[in-house]
Amino acid sequence: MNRIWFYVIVCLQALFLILMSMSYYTMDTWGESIRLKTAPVDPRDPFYGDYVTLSYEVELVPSEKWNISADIGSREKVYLLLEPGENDLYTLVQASAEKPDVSGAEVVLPARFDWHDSQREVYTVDIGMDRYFIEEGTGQQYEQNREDLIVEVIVAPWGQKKINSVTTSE
Amino acid sequence: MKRETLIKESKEWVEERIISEEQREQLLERYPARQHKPLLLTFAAIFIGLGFLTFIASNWSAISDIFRMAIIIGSLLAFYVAGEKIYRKHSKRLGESLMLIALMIFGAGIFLTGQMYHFTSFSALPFFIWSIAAFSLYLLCKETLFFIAAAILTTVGQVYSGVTFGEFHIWTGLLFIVGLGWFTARGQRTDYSVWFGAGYLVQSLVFVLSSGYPYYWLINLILFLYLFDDAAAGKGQLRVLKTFSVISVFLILVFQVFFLGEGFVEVQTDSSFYFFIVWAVFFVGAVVRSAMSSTNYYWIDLLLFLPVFRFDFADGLSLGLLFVYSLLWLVSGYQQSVARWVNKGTAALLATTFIAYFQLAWDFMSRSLFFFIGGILLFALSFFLERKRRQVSKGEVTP
Repeated sequence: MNRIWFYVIVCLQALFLILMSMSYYTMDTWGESIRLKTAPVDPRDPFYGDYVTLSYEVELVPSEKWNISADIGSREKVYLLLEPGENDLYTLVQASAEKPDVSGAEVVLPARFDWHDSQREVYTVDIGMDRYFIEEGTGQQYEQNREDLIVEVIVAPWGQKKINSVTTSE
Repeated sequence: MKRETLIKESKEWVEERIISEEQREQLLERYPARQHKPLLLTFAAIFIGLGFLTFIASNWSAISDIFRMAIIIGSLLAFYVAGEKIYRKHSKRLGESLMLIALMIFGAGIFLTGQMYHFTSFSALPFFIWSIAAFSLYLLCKETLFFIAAAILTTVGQVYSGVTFGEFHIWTGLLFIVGLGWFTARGQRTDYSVWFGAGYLVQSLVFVLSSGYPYYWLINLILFLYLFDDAAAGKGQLRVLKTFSVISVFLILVFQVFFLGEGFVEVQTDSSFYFFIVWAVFFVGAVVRSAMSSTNYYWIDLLLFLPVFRFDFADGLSLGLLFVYSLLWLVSGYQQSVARWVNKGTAALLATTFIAYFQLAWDFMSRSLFFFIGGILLFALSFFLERKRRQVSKGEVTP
């Protein structure tokens, strides 16, 4: 067994894991901070153990903003184009299957397609940030205001994102 | 005689000039050191790995992120370094087991890190990277253990991709076909073929189900495996891949018997056009191959690959193919007195008869009568075939 190559491969594996973790910490420097409004959560009880379940307004895409063909499969990747609106809250411009070009203050958020509600004409997507881990005993405060929380999300240029803080809107 | 005893004894024989040193070596070569399978050590490795994982997992939430990373990377490096040292200096088996643990830690590390830092995966990429690590280890030390690890990881990753994302992960598929396929062909080893064949069939299923191709594309994929066997099986070895592919295509025909009944209309699409082109190329290849083979009977296998699903009465035709296939092997087995063929034909004929009976009689017989008559039918058939088979095995051929 070639020892040099062996250690190269081992180091690459360690490096891969380190980069995964580093990218999270460097997001604060390189990423863009956006504020998102939450939406009512289904199931009814959003507070589970040590995290709150969150759902976002931008995850509900009305059909006029849905620029994707109808045959999209569940869990397929879609891109949400967001722009800052009132109170610095980001709102949805459109959802597309290809990564859209960004201009000005717009931000692209990758998401996964969940399902299509044909009665309400709404496409539900998942931006993959449905859990926010909290300190024990503070769940009450989130639960009471769960339908209008403001979530500050940091989006890195390489598509990664994390929840920075969750605050009640007023 | 045990090799250890022989080594000791033969030394004395040389000293007593009964045999020469050269003859002693020749004798010893006849008793090669037995290769112990690394089974127990592998299990030991897996258990220790699992123990480690469950311990960390149960205390996971109490540990800070940075410290978690330190645990993962620290143990990854420790197991790799220890594994490599022991592999090189002491025991290959123990060494590779330790490296296998390290490989498992790497995979668990990808998922744990992903979870810790809220990564969202959109494909089977984590499994792909994990498989690359396994395959690189195989490239370095050519140990079967890592071949198996790579085969399992690529296949599990592919199933994960199909179930979770409804898609075939093309890079994992390529790594499997090109990487592991290459070494299956070069190695010409039965164990490689078994793992490769099993992985290939599972991945083909994921490919067809998740890519939206009609099920009959499986026939082409299996036909490819059938042809690939010529490259992968060494002289005089078990034709693992051929057996796998014949059994799979047999099952597809059984599927057709049951599901291509009335009301099934095959829509002519682009896909079925390409299917026939690919099929024709493979099939001609297979015919040429069987014409060149020393035994002139392998064309019987090819009958199973005929695409009869195009016809209106595809279920009947599929059943017909199964019968012809079984009977041809039976008859050629008797004529050439090859017991293996007779066995194959017998098994296939029993299965086919049972299927035919099920298909034809299930609807208009009372259940108890159905099973009763079916039992008697199978009993009579197996009695007759078994008697014939014994005649062939004993060499009294009376076709």
